[in-house]
Amino acid sequence: MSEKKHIDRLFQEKFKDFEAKPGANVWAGIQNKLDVPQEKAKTGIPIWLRIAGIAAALVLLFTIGNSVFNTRDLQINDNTVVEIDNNNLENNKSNNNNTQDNTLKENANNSKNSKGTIDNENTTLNNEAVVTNQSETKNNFLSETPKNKKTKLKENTLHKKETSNNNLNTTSYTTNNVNKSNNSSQNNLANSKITNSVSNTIKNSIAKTTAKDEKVLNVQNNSPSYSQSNVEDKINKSSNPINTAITNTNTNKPNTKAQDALDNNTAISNTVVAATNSEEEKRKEEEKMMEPDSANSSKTIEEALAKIEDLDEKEENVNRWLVSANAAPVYYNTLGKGSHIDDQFIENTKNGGVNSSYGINVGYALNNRLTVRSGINNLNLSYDTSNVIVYENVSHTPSGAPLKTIDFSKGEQKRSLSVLSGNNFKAEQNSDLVSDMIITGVSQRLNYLEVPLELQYAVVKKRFGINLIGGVSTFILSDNEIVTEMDGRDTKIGEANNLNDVSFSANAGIGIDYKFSDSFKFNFEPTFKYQINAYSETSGDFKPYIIGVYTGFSYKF
Amino acid sequence: MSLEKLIHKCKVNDTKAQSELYKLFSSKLFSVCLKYSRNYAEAEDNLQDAFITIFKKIEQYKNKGSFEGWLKRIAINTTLQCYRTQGVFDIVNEDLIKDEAVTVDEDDNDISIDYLLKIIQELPDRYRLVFNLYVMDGYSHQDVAELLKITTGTSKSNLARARQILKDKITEYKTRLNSQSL
Repeated sequence: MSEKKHIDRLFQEKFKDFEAKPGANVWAGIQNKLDVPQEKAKTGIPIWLRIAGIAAALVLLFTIGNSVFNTRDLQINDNTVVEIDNNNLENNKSNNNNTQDNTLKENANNSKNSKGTIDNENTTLNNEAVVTNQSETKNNFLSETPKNKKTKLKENTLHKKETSNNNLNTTSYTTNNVNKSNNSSQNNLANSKITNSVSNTIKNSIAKTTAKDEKVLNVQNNSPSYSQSNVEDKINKSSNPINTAITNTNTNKPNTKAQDALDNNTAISNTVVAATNSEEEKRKEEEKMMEPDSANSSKTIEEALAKIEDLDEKEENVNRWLVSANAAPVYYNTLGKGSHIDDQFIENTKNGGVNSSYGINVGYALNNRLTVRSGINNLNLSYDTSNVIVYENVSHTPSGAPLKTIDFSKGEQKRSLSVLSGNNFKAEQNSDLVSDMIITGVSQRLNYLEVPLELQYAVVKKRFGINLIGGVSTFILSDNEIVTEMDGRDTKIGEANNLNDVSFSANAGIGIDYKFSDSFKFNFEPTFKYQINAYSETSGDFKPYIIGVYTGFSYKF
Repeated sequence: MSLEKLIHKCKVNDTKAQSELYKLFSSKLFSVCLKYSRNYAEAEDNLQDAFITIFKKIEQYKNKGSFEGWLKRIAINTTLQCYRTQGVFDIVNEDLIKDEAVTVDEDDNDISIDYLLKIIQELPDRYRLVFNLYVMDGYSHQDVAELLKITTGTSKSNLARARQILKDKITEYKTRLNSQSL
């Protein structure tokens, strides 16, 4: 019979020099894990670094983009400069025309001054020449703006009306002059009569011509000559009875004198009319040069303006978009007193956790102050319930029907874990059980993908800006676990099954920004988000909310 | 290279030194892990975790006391931590049993170490941990109770049960051998 010995000794002796070589995979695993935590340590802080990197990349990109945009602007400027040159050229051209007109007008004036010595026909010819020149220039002018022809013509007719009025005034004025120059009182009378009639007829004819102008816009070219001839005809007609009257009272000489004078007068008045016409038209043209001539060149200027406006619009369009990268510490807690797990935890101490959120947002400026924005954020949340007993739910355990809101993950040996509130457990006074269990806390860990849709209203738009932000967010649940924390080590014990895959929130926040430049801003946005529809069933009054202090940079482009 | 130098190099994350240290101590620590774990695979996992902790915390080793002892403690703690979260939560409604002498025959020394290891690993988690801590590594019941967050009474009771189970298994093994040889 062999001797008995203590079982402890058997094992102690047997295992005294026991050594076993582990598999090679162990060292490989160690190396991997030793590398990974170092990287993790690097990547832990570097979330900021990464964001900074992204921001830096964005800045780089946009500076390059900006320089490209700027060169485009320069090109456009060149174009406008060229156009302005064209205008100048046109101005020069028309100035040349003006000088021509001026010389012609001077001629006309000369002929006026020389009275009888110069042929009426000449003056009229001159006038006609002047008129035709002018109409030519007009035509040139118009032909240059075929697009605006109609409106131009209308304008011209309007101008014509004005000029015709002016003409009437000037004719009467010149007739007065003529009267002064004429010595015979009869002639004066006749002249005055004639000039009256002339002025009347001119009035009529011009009225007619203006009417005609209005009717047939194209006739413009012809209308001055038409009116001129018309006037001449009228004058001739009207001069006939006067002539007869004069011949009746006077001799041939004075008659011829009167006739001459009359002719002169009419001619002069004609020339004057023409001159004034030409003068008016010159002025008109000058005006046109100055402003609408500008109106023609208005075409080019308008085009330029339109282009500039287009550019502005483009620039505005270009500046409407905004991208921003942000990161935030987020605090998750509930407004009411309740538990997301079970009724028994309502009274337990609970703490909201501070976690992180980061994401990218895109904004579009609806107007100067209002911006609509959206984006995508990765959001981590946690919520701790303390004084919870985690235990293994063995078949003969009396107390712990597993909670229906948690799907417990099975352990290695198909052990089913469960939790119960420490508050409740005390009541059972089962010291033996308590001694075998660990009172700890459970933490609900959530990971959401958040897609916000928010409106931002700029209250202050200075270097420091203040914005009001309101909107909604859609949360898509991407990860959900219930973790128990013991000795600082987290162990996943299951998943909550009362979390909705999609939930929403109402958001309100205040944004403070600091503009480094027109397009580059630093943002600081404390935001409150009241979560709606996050849990399908909760105990007590569990109203989760999120407070995040979103910080980041944005770039407007 | 002296151990001291090796430790120093490990403190500055010298990969070569870490490899050297692993070669020196892995077998010894793996034996610890095998005893404390449920099976070979888990033992490997625990050894891995233990070495990671060792390399992370080697800075805290101040050259006081046995380095091997320090390593062993880390290995044991790592393993304990693993089962503390996984399996120590058994609520076993058990009566405290007396810590009486459990003896085996002298010739049981012939029993293979593999079998002995196997029956240790097959013990319920806490029995195994208590048995290893108390019998194999010389922890007092007080220490065991603290480490496992149990009472000394539970520790003693668990140890007694562990011994009984082991003895039963050894007896069963012997009868099986005998019946086979017969």
